[in-house]
Amino acid sequence: MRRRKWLVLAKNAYLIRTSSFGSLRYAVPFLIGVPVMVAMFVVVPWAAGFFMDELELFFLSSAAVTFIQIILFTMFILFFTFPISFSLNSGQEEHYEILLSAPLEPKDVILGKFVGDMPFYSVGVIAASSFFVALMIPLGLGAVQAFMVIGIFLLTFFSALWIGVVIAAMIRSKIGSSARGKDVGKAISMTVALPMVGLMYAIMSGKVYNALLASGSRGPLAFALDLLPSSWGADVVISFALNPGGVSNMSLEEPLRFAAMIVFFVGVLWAGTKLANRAYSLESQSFSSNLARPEGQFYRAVRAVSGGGSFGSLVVSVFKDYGRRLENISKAVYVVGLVALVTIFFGGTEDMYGGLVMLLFLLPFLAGFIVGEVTVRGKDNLFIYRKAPRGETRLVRARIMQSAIVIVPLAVVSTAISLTSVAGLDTAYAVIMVTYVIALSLSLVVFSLGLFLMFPVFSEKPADMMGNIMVLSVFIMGCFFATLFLSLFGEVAGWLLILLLTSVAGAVTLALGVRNLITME
Amino acid sequence: MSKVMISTKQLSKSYGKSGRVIALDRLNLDVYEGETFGLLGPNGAGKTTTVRLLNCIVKPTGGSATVGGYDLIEDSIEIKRITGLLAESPGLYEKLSAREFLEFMGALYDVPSDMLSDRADKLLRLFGLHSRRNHLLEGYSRGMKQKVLIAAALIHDPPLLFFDEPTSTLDPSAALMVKDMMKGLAENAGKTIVVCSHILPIVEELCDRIGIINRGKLVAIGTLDELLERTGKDTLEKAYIDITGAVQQKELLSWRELRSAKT
Repeated sequence: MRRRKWLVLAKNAYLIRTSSFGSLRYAVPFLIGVPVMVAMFVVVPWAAGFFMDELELFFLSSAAVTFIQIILFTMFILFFTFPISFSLNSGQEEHYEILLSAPLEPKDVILGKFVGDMPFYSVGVIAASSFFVALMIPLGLGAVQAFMVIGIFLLTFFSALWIGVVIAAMIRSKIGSSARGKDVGKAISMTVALPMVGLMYAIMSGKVYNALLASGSRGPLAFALDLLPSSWGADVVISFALNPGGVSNMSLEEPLRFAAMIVFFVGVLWAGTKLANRAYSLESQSFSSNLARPEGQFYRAVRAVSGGGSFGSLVVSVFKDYGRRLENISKAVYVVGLVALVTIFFGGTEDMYGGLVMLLFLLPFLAGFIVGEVTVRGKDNLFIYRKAPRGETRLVRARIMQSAIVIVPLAVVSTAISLTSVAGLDTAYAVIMVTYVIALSLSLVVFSLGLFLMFPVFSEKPADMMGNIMVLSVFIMGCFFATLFLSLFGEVAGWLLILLLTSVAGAVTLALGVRNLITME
Repeated sequence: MSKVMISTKQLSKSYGKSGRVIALDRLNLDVYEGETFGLLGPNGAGKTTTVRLLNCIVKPTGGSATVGGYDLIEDSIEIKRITGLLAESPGLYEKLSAREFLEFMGALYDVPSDMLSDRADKLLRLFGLHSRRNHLLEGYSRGMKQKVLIAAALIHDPPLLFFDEPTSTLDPSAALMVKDMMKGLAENAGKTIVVCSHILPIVEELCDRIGIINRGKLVAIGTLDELLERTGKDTLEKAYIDITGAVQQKELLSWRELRSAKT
């Protein structure tokens, strides 16, 4: 009997994910699931018992429907976007010849991977949904109702994820076959997250919640949300909270809505596999190459700013390699976009420190994204410099120069955006602030270059870069809280202290980083 | 007697805690000016480590060496100037065109800019890449990339060249061209060349002397005739297998017979 190929691939995906667990790999979901269940049915209900009155009050209020609706909607959108963003960022997956030569259909590959990953996602979703179940148990929620609530979360999650996976696979097979397409994909992967972040901020700032509450169940926003299965599930959850108990307590509407969610999931699964077979291609990359444009005014200016000669050529080369990767530009756009979104949804302060604090937390990301490029092409690329006379020093100088040329205008734009929310801004203060942000950005460039040389990241995945960026962020946060502790927040001395500490730490890490670069083997 | 270009004395390199992994074990080797020296050995024998040591990319854990009369530890910058390297797994800026990459490499080695442009063009012509000089390297095939990397190793016209597997990814005509070029560089330009390769006919034809390295140790050295005489074999391939340990002739299809027996 022939085995189902997607099942074989699903098992393979599962084994790959659990490889670090050795012989316990088949028990992993249970090892994680059992503590979650204990927490769900014992610990949280016990704790929730202390807030019984407040809970009842909440679930009886009209705010509860809106709240659950927003939670499930956010989950739906987030997990719909996640695979698209992730998949575009990783580019066309290198399909092994072993897969290409096997009698497989495209649907087997994506369905297999999806099913193989299901146990892990399930544990996470059950953990998230158990929070709500546990809160509702003290209200008298029955076992069937509890499992249906968990089912609603699972169905919402997997429907969204599957739609995202199929769309991602289709986009990837369209654009991922050429180098240019991969670049575009990586660039989109970052910027596609911006609208989602905007939505999250809108929810966090309470603007969506207030709009839903204000418009009631007949408003256009509520109508739009009702079209999504997440809202069907939200109604069921609230209905259970209002009428907890056994199966006899349920009206016909609740199982019907739940069944509709199952039908929706099965429907998208079926449609997805059909679409995947038509639109998704297993073929690897095509052979097309792009022409390098002749050096224009910009690169001539970069060469001139770098002092011309050999060093100027180095900086221009490094800059070309950086600038021709669209994802680098999209990363910068992403951070500047974040500044704009924070300003839109949380801005509007009387003083300029709010904007400065925001920049303080976002600049490490900008610096990290720009400088993190230094090692991502791997050790072999660094060895080009190792082989050249004084190559390590040239690399560091060229990278600092290139990063400075990138970060300074971005820092100015970000500061200008953040200042738009400040009422009655003094021009002199604005100039001082811009100068300060430029100085801080440059110290962060040096600091992050030192960090990335000390702890090189030999991978293009943004997640791998986050370690060093988090170190930068934590350092800046530490400096910020130090100014609060020393009662220097808002004082010139406080801001100068942050700049001084960052510069000193930058100089030290750069020295250590260069040493590591020289001795790296 | 020619001048010694490379001289190593007990040169060693080990990795890991307390040097448990010995990549190169007390290498004593002299390579003479104008000589083409072939370094052979199985995978993981220590050839690439030797090349990396002699190019000052990694530091030795024992012994000493001079390259072009410069000390390996004290004068690493000078050594880097006089050597050109085609690495086994080289780095490449894929978002640069071939011409831009050669200009970048030339800048790293301080080739004067008036000379660099002309030299880059000539090398690209030599390797048949001139018509695609403005295409980004990301669109090049492996063989084309290899040609660009060989050109990059030559861009500063160093007297000593290291080629680590120079023809492994090239098509036969390109491999022949590289082989002829190496021959020309040695015979007409007086370059000293160290070649690491698994392609024995190339080593056999090009190299004045051959060293065989196995498990980090130099186990044989000499001209082709000397190696054949020492092993009593008639080809370099047989001599190589004899020196590094012959492959045991096993029942290569035993696995199949076993399966047949069961079924």
